[in-house]
Amino acid sequence: MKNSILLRNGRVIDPANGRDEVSDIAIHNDVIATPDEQTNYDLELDMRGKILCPGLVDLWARPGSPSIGHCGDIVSETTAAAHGGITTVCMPPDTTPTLDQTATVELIRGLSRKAGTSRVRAYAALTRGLEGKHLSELQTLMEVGCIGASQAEEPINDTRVLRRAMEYSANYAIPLVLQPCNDWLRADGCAHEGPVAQRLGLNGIPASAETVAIAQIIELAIHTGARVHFSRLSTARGAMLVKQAKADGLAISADASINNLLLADTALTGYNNHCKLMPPLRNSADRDGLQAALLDGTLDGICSDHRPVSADAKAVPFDSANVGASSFDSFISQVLSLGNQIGASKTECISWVSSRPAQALGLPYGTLSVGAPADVCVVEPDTKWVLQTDTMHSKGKNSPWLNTELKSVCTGVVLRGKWIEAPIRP
Amino acid sequence: MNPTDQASAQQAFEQIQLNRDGKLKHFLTTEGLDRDTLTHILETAESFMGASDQGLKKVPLLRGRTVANLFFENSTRTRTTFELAAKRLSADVLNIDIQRSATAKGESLLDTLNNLQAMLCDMFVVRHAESGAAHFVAQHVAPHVSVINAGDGRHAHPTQAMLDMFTIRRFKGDFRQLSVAIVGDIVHSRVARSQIHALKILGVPDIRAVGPTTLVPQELQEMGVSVYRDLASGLADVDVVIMLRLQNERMSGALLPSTGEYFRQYGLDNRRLKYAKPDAIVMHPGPTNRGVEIDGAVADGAQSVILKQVTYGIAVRMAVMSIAMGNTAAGEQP
Repeated sequence: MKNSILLRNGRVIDPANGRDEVSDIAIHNDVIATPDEQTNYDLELDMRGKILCPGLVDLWARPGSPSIGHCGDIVSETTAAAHGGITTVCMPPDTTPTLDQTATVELIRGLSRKAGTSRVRAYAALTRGLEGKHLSELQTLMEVGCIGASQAEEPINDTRVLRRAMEYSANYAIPLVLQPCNDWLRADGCAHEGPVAQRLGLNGIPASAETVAIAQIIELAIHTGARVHFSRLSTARGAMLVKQAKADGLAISADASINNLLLADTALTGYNNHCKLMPPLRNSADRDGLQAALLDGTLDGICSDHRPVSADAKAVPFDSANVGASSFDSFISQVLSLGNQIGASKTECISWVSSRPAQALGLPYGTLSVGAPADVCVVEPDTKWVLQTDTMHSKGKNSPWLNTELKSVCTGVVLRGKWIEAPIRP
Repeated sequence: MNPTDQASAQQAFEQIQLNRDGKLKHFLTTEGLDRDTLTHILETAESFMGASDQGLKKVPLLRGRTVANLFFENSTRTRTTFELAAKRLSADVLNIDIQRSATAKGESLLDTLNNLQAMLCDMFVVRHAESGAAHFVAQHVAPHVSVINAGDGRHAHPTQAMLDMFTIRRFKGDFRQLSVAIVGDIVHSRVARSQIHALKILGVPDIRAVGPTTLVPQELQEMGVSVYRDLASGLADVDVVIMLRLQNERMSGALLPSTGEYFRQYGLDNRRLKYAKPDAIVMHPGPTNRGVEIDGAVADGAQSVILKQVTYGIAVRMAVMSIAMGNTAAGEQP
């Protein structure tokens, strides 16, 4: 049968359907099909010993950025994403030019299709130019394929504009993906405000920069009925506020980045520019709080927060260094290693990067249900490899995890019905 | 290196200052050094003081070496004393005016460094507005080049701290018997951070940080100091009072209401100096703001050693430069 693939005898983990069993997965014409013995598949692959799970859905990542100091393009970065098991990349609107026009959104979609690797979906700029003053043509942008609206890292300081933006989005049920941050409290900080920044003499960003913004947005969500997804929580208190809001029955969801879930600000020791991230790495109590929030369901997912930075933009003193780290290449490996650390099952880990984030934003991905888009991720759970600059596919060669050993690896993905092998790196 | 392994990261961070034999090669921070290293600096400085007392202004220790003063931030005192110290060690001195140089035209710090290295400089004395800049420079220089931190952001100013230690030792002797109060804008002060580390390493049992929460956050306790909110208890029976400069921009950042209120709460005048021991010394890294953090009568008074600090600064910088250059040459030749 044309355009068909059969993945045989893998350990199928499909959290959306509660499956964890040795089985086959069939793909026909870009969608998941029911395997059957009569069909002659174009491609049959033996997947014994491997995990077959939905292709990962990454709710926050930059697949290349044309702005100065950042590097990579859609081809290099979506290739890196596929090697990390990610088949859907959701990108923020703070590109140059900003994603506040249908033409730029269509351009991104065209580039992504042409690249032929992981699918890229965009968040519309909530306000024009992300300036926090005038609303973008939100519903028009949704009609050309945006999956939500966001301010990226430019919080709306004028609470009246924020209120209107939330009301207007609620009108069309547009999900708002907001990184909670109070601009005044963030000020010129570059690290978590605490003893580590104090010792290194770095300007701090207090935890309250996040919690004040969350509290404000939650109150406005009650007022306006907006559907809010908090992107990249970094504090334990922030997770507590979200937990309470969920308990109160609000339509709120949240995620945290893999970096904030694995690392604390102690990693900045020695002015480690690889760990200069936004939101900043917080203290170990915050990291532990985020892990607990993942386990108890407060957090709906883990995003990569992939943000490739050129070597030159990191080869400067800490305060001047660009923010960001490349997280695509090692994403599934890091997620499973986090799961090991915090005692989560493989099903839970996979749900945090597939079904749960997809459900949070109402996306059709992250499931192996028959008829769903044919995105599959193949993982060798016990194959060790080392993340190295020369084997990374991302053009950003900066990661907190360079030269560290990882304990599982993605060996391929099915993407829009096509098998893409990811050769194991040594 | 695994970023969760903080102990080894801290160790690597501290060891960048040392050569293969564990001797001081760059002087970037007082943090993490051992007592012997600091004491050696103080004793070497004593020997230079002795030489100058005998009329020997110049010694040939750095003859044929080139020291580049890279001041990315303005400074009069520190730059002048570094220049004098290098000249008294017989080095050739290059003062790079960064404000007017290539960096102002957009050249990166790394490119500036590489160009200077190509001119065969042996030592960089670096002052920069960003914390960690001196470490950054040390990470990128050739093995035969030594880096001295002349102040990086709010992180460290180790030669200032060492000249302060030298002053304390000259006037007070045994560090292990002392109470030292540092008063003022500690959160923004690289001097205070370096002093705190040095005082701890030299065995001072009672280090106090005195000031309002906006300038002296409670978390400073984690560096091993006791935090005091009022001057009376903070200065009670101390041997050494170190006043820090209060910059005017602290008022615009809403950290303080006014210099007047600050002086009323934390300014050092003769009446308040009486809280300290009768023979306490008063120090200030300069430049002083008379009437803001310190009353002129105290700055010029009998207990003030502020000008002595400046004099000692030359000997201490001679000590640091000669030690670091010696260990760089001995440890690793190009």
